[in-house]
Amino acid sequence: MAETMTAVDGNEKNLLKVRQAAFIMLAFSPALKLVFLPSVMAEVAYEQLWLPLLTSFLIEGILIALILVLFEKRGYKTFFKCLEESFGSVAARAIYFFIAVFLVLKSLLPIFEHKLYIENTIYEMSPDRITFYIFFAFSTYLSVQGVKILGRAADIAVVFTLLGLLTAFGLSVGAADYSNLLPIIKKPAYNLVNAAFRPVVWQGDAVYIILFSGHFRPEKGYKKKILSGYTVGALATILFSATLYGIYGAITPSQNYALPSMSVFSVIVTNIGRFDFLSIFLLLFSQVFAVSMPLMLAVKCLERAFSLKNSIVAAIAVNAAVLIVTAIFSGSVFELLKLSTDVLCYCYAAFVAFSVLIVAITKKAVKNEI
Amino acid sequence: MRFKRTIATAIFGVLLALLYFTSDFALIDIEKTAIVVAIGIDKDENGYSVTAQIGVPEGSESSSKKDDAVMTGTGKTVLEAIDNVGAETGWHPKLSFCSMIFIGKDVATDDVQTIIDFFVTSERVDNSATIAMTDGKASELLTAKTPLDSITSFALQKIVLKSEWMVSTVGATNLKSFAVMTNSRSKSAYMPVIEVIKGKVESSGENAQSGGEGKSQSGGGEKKDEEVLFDSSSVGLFYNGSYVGRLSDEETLLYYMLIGPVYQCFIGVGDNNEQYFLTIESNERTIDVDVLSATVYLKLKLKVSLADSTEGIDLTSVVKKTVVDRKVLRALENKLDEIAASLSGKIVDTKADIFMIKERIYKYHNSDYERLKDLSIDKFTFKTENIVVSAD
Amino acid sequence: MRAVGDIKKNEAFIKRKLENGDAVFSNVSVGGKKALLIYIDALVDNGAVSEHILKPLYKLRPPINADKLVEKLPKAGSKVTGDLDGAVNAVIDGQAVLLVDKMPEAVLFDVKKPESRTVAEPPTSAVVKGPREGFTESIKTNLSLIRRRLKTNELKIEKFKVGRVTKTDVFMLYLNNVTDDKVVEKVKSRVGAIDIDGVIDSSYIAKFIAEHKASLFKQSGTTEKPDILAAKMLEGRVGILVDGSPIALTVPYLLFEDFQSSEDYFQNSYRSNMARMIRLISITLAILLPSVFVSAQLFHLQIIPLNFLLTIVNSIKGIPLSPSLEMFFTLVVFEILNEASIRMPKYVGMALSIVGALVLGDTAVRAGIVSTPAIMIMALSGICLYTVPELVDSMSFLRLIFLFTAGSLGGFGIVVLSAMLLVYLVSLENFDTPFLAPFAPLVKEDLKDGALMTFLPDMTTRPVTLKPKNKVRIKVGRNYDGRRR
Repeated sequence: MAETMTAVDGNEKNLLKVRQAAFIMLAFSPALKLVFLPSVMAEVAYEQLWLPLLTSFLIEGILIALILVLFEKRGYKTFFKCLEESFGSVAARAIYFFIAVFLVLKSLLPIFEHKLYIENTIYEMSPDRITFYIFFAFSTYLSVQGVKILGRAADIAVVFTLLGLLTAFGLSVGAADYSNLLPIIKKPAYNLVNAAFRPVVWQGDAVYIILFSGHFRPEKGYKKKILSGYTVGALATILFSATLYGIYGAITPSQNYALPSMSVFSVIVTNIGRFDFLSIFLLLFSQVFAVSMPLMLAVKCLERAFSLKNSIVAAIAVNAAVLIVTAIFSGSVFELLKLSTDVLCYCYAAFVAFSVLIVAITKKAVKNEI
Repeated sequence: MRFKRTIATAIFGVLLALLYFTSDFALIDIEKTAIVVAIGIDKDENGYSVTAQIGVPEGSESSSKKDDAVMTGTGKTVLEAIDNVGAETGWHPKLSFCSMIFIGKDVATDDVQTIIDFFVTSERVDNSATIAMTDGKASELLTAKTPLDSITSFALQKIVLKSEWMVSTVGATNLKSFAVMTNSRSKSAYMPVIEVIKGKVESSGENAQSGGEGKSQSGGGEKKDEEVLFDSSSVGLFYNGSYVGRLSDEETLLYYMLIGPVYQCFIGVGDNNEQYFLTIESNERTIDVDVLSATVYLKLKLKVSLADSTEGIDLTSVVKKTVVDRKVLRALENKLDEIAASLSGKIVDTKADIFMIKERIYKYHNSDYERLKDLSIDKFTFKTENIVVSAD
Repeated sequence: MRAVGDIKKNEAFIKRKLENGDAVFSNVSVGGKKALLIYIDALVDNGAVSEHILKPLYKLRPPINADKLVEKLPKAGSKVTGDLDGAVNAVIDGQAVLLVDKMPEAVLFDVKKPESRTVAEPPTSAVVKGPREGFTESIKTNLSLIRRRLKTNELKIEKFKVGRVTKTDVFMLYLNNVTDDKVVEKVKSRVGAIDIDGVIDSSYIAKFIAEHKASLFKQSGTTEKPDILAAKMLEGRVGILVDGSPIALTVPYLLFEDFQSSEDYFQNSYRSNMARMIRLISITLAILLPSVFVSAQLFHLQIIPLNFLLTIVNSIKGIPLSPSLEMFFTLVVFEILNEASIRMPKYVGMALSIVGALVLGDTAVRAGIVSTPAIMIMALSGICLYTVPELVDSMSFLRLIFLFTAGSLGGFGIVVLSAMLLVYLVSLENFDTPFLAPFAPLVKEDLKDGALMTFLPDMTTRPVTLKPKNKVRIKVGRNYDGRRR
């Protein structure tokens, strides 16, 4: 079915392979969720932190599956083309503009938290104020590239993520007392629905899949592949959160930076020094991609929304705007975290649901199109 | 376009070079950095006094053989006191290599939780740093001279870690484990107590180690008036973040045996005529809580082998005498029963729930937790059951 | 200009074109007619001139015409031309030209002097196991070395003349039944489009056929060994040989090619895999070691083990340079020594080693200008770099950029720069082939000869990345152990 049909938007720069879409889920998705998320979930769900995480991932996984099915019915067109055919060019552009705004807003908390994480845990000596801002040079550079480059980078970054996760897990599992997660079966003493909304701030894979659709040629078992990538990433996040709780128990919420907090108890670290920094830097490599991915995709959306020939202007504009916001407000990271987990997470969830709904109401492809 | 790119690259290169050649001048030079390897925290009239032991490398050019230096800072809070360390010398203390924190008895008695919580949440010290309390002032411990190591804290660490290694699966008493225990539903924790032993340095030669009944005591070196040894074979009990009592050496050993597997551990039994030293080969243990009767059952099955005895060893026999007489095993069982009774008494007296009973109820009998959560630990009954000692 | 019947006029034209003292104009008599044999003494084989041209010429009887000359002088590789410009070019190229009075054509004889250098092992790619032959500056020899290895009519050799002045022969070689036509066409069009006064070496061609002219990384593979060129052509690459250059080019080029050595295929697979891993780790260390060391000293003391940190503190006592300046100074000295050791006459080489190692290294440490760890780190980085000599140019420059970034921005700078480098590398394509293949994009089939390699008999297909027309290398049913796959 797949090889002969025109599944791609015609722009070779944005061509992805199914494997790469899966690797993007696998490499970047867990990398983004290993800083604040475990402690945030521990704060609200204590030893049951895995439950709202699992719920949240499950819902997002179902949404991804739904999106993949919906696009199959739409002849593997790009989201933009679906919108254009169903609602006209102006509406398609407007929706893409709103997606860009959503992605930019969604990128703020990860950027803020990574700035704090890098400055507080990686640097022993106070770094120069400009140190973190080099990230925006990278982000701008990535934003002018096509999605194809992101896919290829994921091919390599997945190795970094997996090695980083395995090293970190290997170093920390010995210190974890998983009985801290008991009792497993207990009526949640918290609002599971509210708690399950919290991770939404760090999620976004459903929106990414909407944007990637039509950019990869579907092949045999492509839905399974993409969902597998997502599932492994989600399970890694849950396992890490559970391990952090296993180590820190009731004081887990105080450990804002999960990774460096977890691995310091290993005998290797005691004997030869901070070996755990290997995993921290390996994952940091994937984290810079994960954090800049929403900005990159926002630029791609703006490119479409305004029919830009050259993405450099959009890339500079988006990244400069976020840089300025970061420079002014990065001191208020915990205020943003509170705002995000108390209010914005619901807005983001609503936006994701709305996006899926829009996909669902776009015109289906006629039979001979498929 | 290419010209523009070249110009942009050149500008970027120049900026980077400029930053490279200038940025590190604003940083603190390694030479001015004081690598703190241990700190001691005491109370003083201003609030806290922090004594930091600085690791100084053995310089070939240095005429002095001293490998450490001690600096002190005071402040209303621990953070302020740390920041004041080295204020007079201009050195900048870096705590990332600080692997030991000693708490003075006065601080421990007052409120240790605030200090531990500060360290656990700050990024200054690794959460794996070992903690111990001192019988007196922590500063005295760090300024003391010992033949065991040129850096006092390294000697202390060896002694504390020896105890920890004995109970490795229980986990070292480090910042994290103490904070986890004291912030748990049991609100209780323990940490080793280090005592200074004066006037025992007499034998010459290399560093030596000795220990009896699980003691982690070290000695050796040439006799020097000011040199001291340390002992850390007992633990201090903490409840609600404050020091409430201390286990004896034997109670400590039993406690270790009840909470995790022990390795390379010896126990002595006997009377004035005959003494047997037994190696603990394995210790199966169970702590059961009967939530209906609020009773805690301590169960222990030990397997031991004979390590030494006052009877001596028969060198003419091929078969080494490692079999332990039944009467010795029974004597040990009785002894352990007595120790257990005294250990339970301490728990009841101090209300320090060091067996994490409340936490166990929450984890394993969750439905009863609400009913029992306000029941003080001294209202629980501790019973030793099935303390069985067998020969390997 | 067309040749005319008047030998004087023809002679005058050629003399005007060849206003050099080394051209020989020898008057001879052919069948009673006046004739002129023109050649450049330094370029022709005098024995062949005498044996294959002059001796048969004296024996010729009238009538004399161009066809008869070609027929009677077969060993001289004779050819007829009416174009005097072409004749002049032929003389410059090392051929001899015969003009006969009343004959409006010139006869060209291929009597080029054979190559002066014998086939020897190239100094830049010596092997313990495997063929030791290397290319020479003679294109004929080089072609014969390839012909000897690829005995098939599918071997296509296309000739180009590049260089308005040098008129250098450039040969494009490929296996017609293997190599992707698109690559062949692209090479043809790019080589054909080169308009330069002279091509001195194959590296000139490499720069012209590169897609990304300003790239930090080379975009053509290079080799001095015919066995490697043959192997690469068998995989589906196009080879380019340039007259006067012992270095052959291969395209498309993949970055990981240089981590693979020809010896990998000749020795035990386990050893080969270990060697490949060592090369990979070495290059990583070469680039990152100085920068990580500097950034650790400046920003991340905690990653240095305590005992090593105390050693560093001890060794940098009294050193006037900051860690970044110290490392930069050491790097500059290393690069100077490296440059000097290449350019310096061999007989001074030993002295240079002594000066470099003892005077600059040991004495600088003793004098307290640099610390021992800095020297050690730079030395290790330098040695590591030469595990893959083909990448020294780009990697040494990268090392400098990483060092600058690390000194200015610390570990996060290193991570961000690495990420940028990755994006740059994955975005590079040459001849429609991704530069970082088979890793990005991941080509599963090609991983059997990637960073690690499987056993040679298991490499049943050609690299898919190169889009070969015929993918099969080992046919089904002709397995190494006789069993069907």
